[in-house]
Amino acid sequence: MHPKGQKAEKPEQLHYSLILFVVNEGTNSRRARNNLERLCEQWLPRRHTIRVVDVLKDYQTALDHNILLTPSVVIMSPEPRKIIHGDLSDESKFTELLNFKGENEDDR
Amino acid sequence: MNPSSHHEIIDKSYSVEFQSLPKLPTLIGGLDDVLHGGLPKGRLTIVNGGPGAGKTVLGLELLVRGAETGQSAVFISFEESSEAMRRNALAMGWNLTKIEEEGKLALVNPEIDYETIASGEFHIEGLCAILTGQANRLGAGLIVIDAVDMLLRLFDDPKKARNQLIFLHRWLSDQRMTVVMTVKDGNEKRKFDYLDFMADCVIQIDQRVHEQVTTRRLRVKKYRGSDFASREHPFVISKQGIVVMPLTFVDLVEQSTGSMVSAGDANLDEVLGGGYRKSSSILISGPSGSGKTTLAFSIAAAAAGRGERVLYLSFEQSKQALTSEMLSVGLDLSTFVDDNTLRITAMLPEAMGMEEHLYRIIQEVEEYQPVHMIVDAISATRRIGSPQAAMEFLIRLYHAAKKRGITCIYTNQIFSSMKNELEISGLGISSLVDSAILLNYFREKNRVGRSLLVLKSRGSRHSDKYHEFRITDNGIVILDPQTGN
Repeated sequence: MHPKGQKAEKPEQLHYSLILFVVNEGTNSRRARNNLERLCEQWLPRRHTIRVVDVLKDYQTALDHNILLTPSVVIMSPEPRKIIHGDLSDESKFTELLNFKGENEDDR
Repeated sequence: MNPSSHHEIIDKSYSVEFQSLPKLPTLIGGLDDVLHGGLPKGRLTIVNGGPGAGKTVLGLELLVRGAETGQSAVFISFEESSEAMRRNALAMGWNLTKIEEEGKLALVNPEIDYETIASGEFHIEGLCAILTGQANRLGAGLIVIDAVDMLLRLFDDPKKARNQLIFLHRWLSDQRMTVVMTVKDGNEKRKFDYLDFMADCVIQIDQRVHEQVTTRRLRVKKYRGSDFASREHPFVISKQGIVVMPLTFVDLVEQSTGSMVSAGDANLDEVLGGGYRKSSSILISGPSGSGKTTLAFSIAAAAAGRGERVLYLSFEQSKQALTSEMLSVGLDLSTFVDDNTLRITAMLPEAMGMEEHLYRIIQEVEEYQPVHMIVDAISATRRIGSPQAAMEFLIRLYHAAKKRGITCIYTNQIFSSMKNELEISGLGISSLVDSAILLNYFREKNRVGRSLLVLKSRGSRHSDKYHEFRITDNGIVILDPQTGN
């Protein structure tokens, strides 16, 4: 997943910048938010920033990022940009996307 | 073809009164006639059609026509980029960039990544928010969603896709948006059948190729709470946009025929019972070489000589061939062409579909404003496609001419000259025309003569006899009806 140039850099030193797109403060939105915060605490302690966008209030950002489905998480950095749809209740999909599993196993 | 058969293709149910539903006029040529006023306002319309049927053009024209009357719209495409959309529209002469700058249009073009990973539940609310946001920004009441089937592919579960679409539909109808969704017909179409149930109005468009001629059809499958012209209507995508050609009640408001005029020859006038009526229609039938074109041109020359414009539509011969042929029988067409009292338009029947022919002819009629029109020969119109297409073409052409009060002369080549005298057109038009003339050969001892018989001539006491005529260097000469000399 990582471009070759970044492979040398240790994953645990990278800072992750994420945007969570939600609609309103419904249960679905809250669940997504809780899941994301928990996963980030677990896998990216003290090296992540989460920006939450309520598309009802700010549809332009959703449009800029091509987000039609909510909730969605856009991982802005490190490159390349990745998108995951859903409330993140399936954790393995999230960790797969970020290659966390692989990295952790390497660390062990 | 019996006299009532042409009624079958006319929508009798047209009624202006029955309009409980608020409608949004599409302002697309002929479409509002078919929809009896326009799209259901604040509701959902589905446009189904195969690839290349013209769904996107229809969607684009809706917003272009809307913008012309000051209405704003949001257009979202799941298939083409906004840039491609602007380019395609420009080819139709529609400058979307200008409409965008005027604040009357928002083009939305989300790039869908079908490989995107999903984790848990997700909903279509993001799209709803974007659409509402853009619509509110522009004060738009119309949202066109192009290729909604592509959006639905984001959901691997059809049931989920369906629920999400229902959600989108409810959301937008809560906002009182008039929504048009286009859906690609195809093998997968059945998966999206529920769209038709959901919608208040369903329009089916398609493009067919029959004997190498392309025709486009539009049909309203459903219109909840409204009357509509339910049969298939041919349409064209012209340089000016879509033109649907419905044959409705409106087309049947014929101008009554006018005063008697001379057919250009005293003997012919006598045989016809005093000439023919202005704004009437005359059918000249006969086997090949019997003098149909010459007779038609004799009548036309008399009209052009009076300064009345004649439009001659040739489906069989080129302009040059016609001109030299008529010169050989003493009719110099070039003087009329130079005077602008005659215009010859040659068309190859196979070159295009029925609606395309019709559209071009009507354009020509609108521009040239002829008093007379000659169609030579209607038998060739079979080559436009099927006999069905030829019949529709003729009936539409007939009504278009009637509506404008144009005198029409149709020629028709018949093949088995002795057998089918009364079925003189074979295309169902014989019952519609006001006058019918049959030309034929006859054998007398060792010579061949030509005969002319007036089969009918509405409202006049025409001759019921066969009259001999000759084609001379000075045109058609009908022997004296009384003496036969």
